[in-house]
Parts: sequence; structure tokens; C-alpha cells
Amino acid sequence: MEFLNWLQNLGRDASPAPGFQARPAYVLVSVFLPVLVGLTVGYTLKLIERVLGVELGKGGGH
Amino acid sequence: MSAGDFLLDIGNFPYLALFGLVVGALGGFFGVGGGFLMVPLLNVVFGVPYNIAVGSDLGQMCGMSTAATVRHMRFGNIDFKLGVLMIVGTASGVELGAQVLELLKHVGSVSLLGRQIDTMTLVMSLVYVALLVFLGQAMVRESLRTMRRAAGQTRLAAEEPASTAVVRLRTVKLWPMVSLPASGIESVSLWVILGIGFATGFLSGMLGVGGGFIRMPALVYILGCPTVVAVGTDLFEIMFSAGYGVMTHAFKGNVHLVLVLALLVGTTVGAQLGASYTRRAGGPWVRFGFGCLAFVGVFMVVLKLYLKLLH
Repeated sequence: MEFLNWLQNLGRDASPAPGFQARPAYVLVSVFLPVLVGLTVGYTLKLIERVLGVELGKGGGH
Repeated sequence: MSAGDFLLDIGNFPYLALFGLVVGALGGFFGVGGGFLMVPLLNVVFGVPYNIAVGSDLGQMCGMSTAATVRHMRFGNIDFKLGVLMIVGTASGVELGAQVLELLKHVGSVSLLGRQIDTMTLVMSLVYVALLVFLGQAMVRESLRTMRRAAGQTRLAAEEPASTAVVRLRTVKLWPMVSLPASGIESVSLWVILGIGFATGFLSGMLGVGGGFIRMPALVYILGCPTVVAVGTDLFEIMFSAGYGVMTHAFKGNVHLVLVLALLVGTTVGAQLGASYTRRAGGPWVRFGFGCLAFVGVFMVVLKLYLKLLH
């Protein structure tokens, strides 16, 4: 919950106005949050497949 | 409205994750990302403005395609040279699409049937209706044709022949020419690759879709890529186009971080569930169901627009 509040507060700065400039932290988190989650999920699934010897569905992405 | 002004109740996080799970499961089941269902449904069901739905969905898509690319890399199905070349065209297209959406965001409202309606909502709803009708009818027709073939009512054909115009694009000799050994392509104009990237990038930037439904056939029929390489390269490409898309939309204040996280949590689990169940269902029936689902999306978008005009 703390983390969600932090994300919510970080996004509060994303308010458009003439000459609006997003905070660097907001832009960086916007890009790196999905990439980190994706890498974590991808490698976790690979590990599960290797350990259990099964092939899980390839999932979406398109 | 920007992500900073759109206050999302954090208590809705589980519902958004559940929504992501359902759309992710449908996407995984039907073998697509589901972006073209995600954006209009976020607007219709949760009232998320289109610009924020597009920016946040691109974040979700970036995470999903990163996970899928990690898993595809071990199969060696990615043509990295093709992917990197296409990124140039894709990035330009994403930027133009995002700028068009930004323009719509600031246009204000228009009068329709004596009522004021937000221009962005009106234009995006109509574009989505057109897109969903196009995709829905294409999938329903293709699946019915395949089912009839399986029943022996029409002659069997391994592949539908590509149209002459499409094949002609493959033979364009406009300098510079590049070779793509990983895809078994001796020579193709760089402009054709950039053009494919640009077109799909524009759709990504404006509509928040991955564009796989255009890029995949383009890679196979126009460039002549083997299908497995087209799938892997498409995922690699989406990872960068969605990554660039989420960055440019973040600069415009269109990315809602809590929404991105909720969708990511739901779709990553849902996509695995959906993909597992696909194996138990027949391919043509899956595509037929997906086509029908697109028409349900059309109905919901039109209904929301109608109700907006009423009140």
C-alpha cells in the first residue's frame, strides 16, 4: 500500500500546463517499472520451466 | 485530463488487476496482446480518459512483451537486425501518433446532436469502432473459411496467396538495400522496413495497441519472413515501441503508474492462464470467438458514446 501511495504521489506531478515538464523520476519510473516487472516475470517463468521441466504458455505481448 | 489530475482510488487496485487478468487471459487465449480491447474497455468500464488509457496500456504492453521476449530469445526466433532497423520507423510513428492524441486532448469539445462532447472521446471511440469492426470481421471470416475447409467444403490451400500489390512492395529497389540473413531475405529496401515500422508505430502511439495484427502479416507477406521469426521479431519490436511509447506519453503526463502496475499484475498472470487453455480449444473456434468478442467491444463503445450524448 505504501508503494502504491508513492506511485500515486509521483504521478501527481504529471499535470499538463503550458511549458509542462514531467518530473524525471516520474518518466524514469514509467519506463523502468514495466521493464523490471517484465524481466522478473520472464526469468521467473523460465526458471519454473527449467525446474519443473514443463513448458508454460507463451503468453501475449502483441 | 492528465495522469496527475486523474485520481484513481487505490482501493480499485484489485478490480483493475482482475480486469487486467481477464483481458490478459483473453489475449493469451486468442494469441494476441489484447491492447485494442484494453483501451476502450478501460474507458467504458472504469472511466479512464483515452489518453491515460493509451499511455498506461503501453506501459503494460512494454512489461508483457519484455517477459515474452525473454522467453522467445532461447528459441532463436528473433531477427535482431530487422528489429533494430524497424525501430527507427516505429519510433517516428509512435511519436506522431502520440502527438495526434496530444492534439486531440487539447482541442476541447464539439457539438453533436445538440450536445457537447469531448473531441478526444468522440474521435477515439469512432477510430476504435472502425478498428474493432475491421479486426472482428476479418477474424470471423477467416475462421469460418478455415472451418469450411476442414469440413471439405472448399479446396485445401496451405497459405492464402498475398495480393499482387503486396508482393510488389517486396521487390521495390529503392536504395539503400539491406540483406537479412536471419530471415533468409537476400535484399529488401530499407524504406519498406521503415514504412512497416512507421505504420504500426503510429497505431501504437495513438491507440495504445501493439500493432502485431498489422506487423505480423506485413513481415510474412511483404518481407517474406518465416512465421516463427516474424512472431519473435514482432515481440522484440513491441518491447521497444511500447517502451518508447510509454516514455513519450510520460513526458505528456499520460501514464498513470498505479494503473500500469495493476494491469501488469493482472495481465502477466492472465496471459499464462489463457495461453494454457488455448491448447485445449480448436484454433478456428478460438479465432471465431475472438472475432465475436471484438463486436462486443464495438457494442460497448457505441453504447457508452450514445449514453454520453443522452446526458
